[in-house]
Amino acid sequence: MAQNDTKSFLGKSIRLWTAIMIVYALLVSIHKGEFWPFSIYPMFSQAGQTWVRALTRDVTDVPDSLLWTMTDREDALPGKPFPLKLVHTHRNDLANFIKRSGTWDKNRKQGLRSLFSDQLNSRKLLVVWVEGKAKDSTGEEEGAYNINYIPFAYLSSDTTLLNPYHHFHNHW
Amino acid sequence: MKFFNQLFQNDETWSIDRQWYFRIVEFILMLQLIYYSWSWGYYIQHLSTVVLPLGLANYIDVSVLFHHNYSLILAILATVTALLGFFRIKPWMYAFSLLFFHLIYISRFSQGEISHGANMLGVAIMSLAVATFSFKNEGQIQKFAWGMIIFLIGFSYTSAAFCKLIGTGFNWADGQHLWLWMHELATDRLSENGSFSFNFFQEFLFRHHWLATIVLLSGWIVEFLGITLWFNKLRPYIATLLIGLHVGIYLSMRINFVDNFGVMLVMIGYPWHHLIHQIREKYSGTFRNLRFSRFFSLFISDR
Repeated sequence: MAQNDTKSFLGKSIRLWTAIMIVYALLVSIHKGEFWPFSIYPMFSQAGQTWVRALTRDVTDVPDSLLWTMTDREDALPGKPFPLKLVHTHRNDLANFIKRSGTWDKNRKQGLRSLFSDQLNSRKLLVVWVEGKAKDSTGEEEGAYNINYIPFAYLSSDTTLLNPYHHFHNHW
Repeated sequence: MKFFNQLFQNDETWSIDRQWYFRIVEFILMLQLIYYSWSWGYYIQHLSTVVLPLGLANYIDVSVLFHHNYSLILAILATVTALLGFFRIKPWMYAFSLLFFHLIYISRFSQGEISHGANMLGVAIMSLAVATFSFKNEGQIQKFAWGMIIFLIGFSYTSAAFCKLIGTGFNWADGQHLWLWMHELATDRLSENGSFSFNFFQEFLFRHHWLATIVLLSGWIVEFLGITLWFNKLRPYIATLLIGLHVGIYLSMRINFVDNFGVMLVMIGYPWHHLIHQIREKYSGTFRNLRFSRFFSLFISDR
């Protein structure tokens, strides 16, 4: 009897395992590798690719003429750093919001503003698009990559202005 | 067949020590679920639009959950159903727990980031949901859930390794790739805190391309070996290597997977039931004399 119980348990377990794996395979194949909690775990699988992140600068005291200057040094950006921990926005959410957004209509711009909570009542902020890409060099040279800081959007209490001088590629 | 026999511990007597071990792991998983449900539930209230729909968000508009405290209601539901499942009042409630947690996850991560920090927790809850739904005997519930959790965690690491091979090729482990990622993650830290500086290990990696390559290559090899978690005798060794992998990731890229993946690997990677047995043997008289037996029976079945 006990042996029948263990055989029965094993048989049922294998059937359930098979069903789960079939569901797993179907869900991830239909949904580009991701259907939580199932995943193919593709993080960091594409090495050497250009990445895009975001920074925020407090430009309350910065003249308008200096806002849209591109640079390859973070300390050359206008204004001073604005840490996102002052608002309830995760750094990845800001970065993905600007790099994955398609059309920047009124709703999208309002969505960007809402990431900064009520800070815009008293500050002027500049969201900066940060792009890192590998150079085509090989070998052990240090700095085999470029990091570019490109102002993306200016936000104040009554203004949302996207950079009029640069075309940003959408990163889907 | 032999493989499944050992994966689901079919020939093993599921001792009281193993039951304690399982229930402690299950308790920690439940706490993690509750913690994430509430912390994400509060964060969701600050969101406004869906940027990248994931999971069920491909079929339903989750932006409705961004308002009117709906995400907190989901957190309450996830918490209550997890507790009902854990105390086996309604064991199959784990299935609802998984559903509510999925809704919270797809709402929280609707802004473009695809976070994997809670995937191990998710597959564990899914395994519990299937186990409690399919089996009535507590020993069988635990054996099946345990086997599925071990299988899926091991599978996840090896899958990640193959994704890297397919996504980039054999040159994935070039140290320059690590430099680029280190700058990417540094930018994230800068964005969050307003300032950032590389630690000593990162500075050393920047100065030595060969070391950065070795760090990537060794981590990649350990990932490939993830499926060896499936085998009882190899589990402690690969669990140790995987914990080392996450410590290395934290030191080089400042990505913290230690408090989720690390905790999971410590819990499932080692035969803690032997330690529990020793503790029970040493203090068995104390447990019998204290009036805790009814309390403990909430956690341990005598079936």
